[in-house]
Amino acid sequence: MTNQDSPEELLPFFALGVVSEEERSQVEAWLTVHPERRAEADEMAWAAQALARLAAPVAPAETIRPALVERMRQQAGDSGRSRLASRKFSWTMPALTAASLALAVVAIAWASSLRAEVNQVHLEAAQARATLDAQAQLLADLSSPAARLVEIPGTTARPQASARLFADPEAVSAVLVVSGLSPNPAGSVYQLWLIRGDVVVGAGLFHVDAAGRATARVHSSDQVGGYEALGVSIEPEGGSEQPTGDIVLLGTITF
Amino acid sequence: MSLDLLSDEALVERVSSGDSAALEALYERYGSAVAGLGRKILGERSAIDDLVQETFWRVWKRAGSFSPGRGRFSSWLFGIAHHQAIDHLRRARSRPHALEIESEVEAVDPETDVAEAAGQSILRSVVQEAFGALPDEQRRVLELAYFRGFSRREISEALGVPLGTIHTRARLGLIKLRAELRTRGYNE
Repeated sequence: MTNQDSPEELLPFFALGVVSEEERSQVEAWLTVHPERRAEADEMAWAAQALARLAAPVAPAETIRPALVERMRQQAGDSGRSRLASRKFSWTMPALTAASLALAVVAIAWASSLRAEVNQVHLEAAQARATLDAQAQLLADLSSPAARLVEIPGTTARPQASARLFADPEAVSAVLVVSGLSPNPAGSVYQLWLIRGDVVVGAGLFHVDAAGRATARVHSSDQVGGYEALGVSIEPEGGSEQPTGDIVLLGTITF
Repeated sequence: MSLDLLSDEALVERVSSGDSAALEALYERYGSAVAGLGRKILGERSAIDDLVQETFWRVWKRAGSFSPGRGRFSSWLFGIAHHQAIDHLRRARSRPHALEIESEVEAVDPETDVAEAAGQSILRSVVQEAFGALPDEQRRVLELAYFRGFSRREISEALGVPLGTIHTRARLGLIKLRAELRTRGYNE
């Protein structure tokens, strides 16, 4: 995953099954930190997997089913042979067998416990890594010698709002520190827009905290310095292709 | 009780207990759908056969990890099949199909249950209608991702559209597809 990606933006591609393993881990970690978004992720995955129905059914090769049955039979046979081998010792050394079984039970329980702990540690590490990566990137952007500060004022729709854009004009991402916005009404999101002439490009989504503050990442496929203005509008959850709601922040990008 | 009368979820529970007949029943229901998905994504016959066998083998091995609370069995199954198909596609770096969802000739398995086949056909029509209700630009992004395995950047480059716009189209496309499916009563 590169610096300009965020797990939230990866979510649709995660649902579509076309993210890398690293991106998948990051999204999974993000979802554990944001369990309230799990239902949204599941719904997206559900819709994505419905696409499989668009494929016209075709008869599988006749050889597949017997091959599958044979594979299952072989596996069952392997298990059976293992059990038989164990029985050879059971009548000669019952005490040893009982002790071995008890040891096996303890070992399995211990292994399960260890596995659960390892999984938990991996998950926590992934979460911590995701958080640290995000914070490190924010710090890097904010402290970059090339970073410039641009004040973005609130519009008449939200005159008390204001924002500060920290951007390297030649970078493809930036940081916007926002204050004075109203907490998002249910089902809505704040959406960032980069503007150049008549072209308005979505640059990310964010929510604000109860105090109306947020630190949002601005994403662009071109250099941020190539845009003339930045705006923020209120959009339905999931964002829009073009601004449809009230524009609450708008300012020119001059470095 | 005949396995044919059991729900998918009841069958997969039996599979998790090692009931191979239950897996065969699921294969009977979904083998042709998985093969169809394989043909749409991979094209090659040998790759399709591998996909079908590996998908159902994974169902056999992982049935215990299926959680009914997270969705229907069919969705889980297609997720496994799709993941493997995209893996194969990316490894082979082959892109055999045209971008459009082409009209395909359905090769019906003579052993397929007629009522089951009719049910599958109806579901397919419902999804086609729902997908057709999406704006072209959103549909295009979902097609390139789901059936061609394109990454976000590959889609952005293929369509000549900024990455941020691709993110938005994918998100809105899935949200709208979900709503259109629900409106039509799709609940698989």
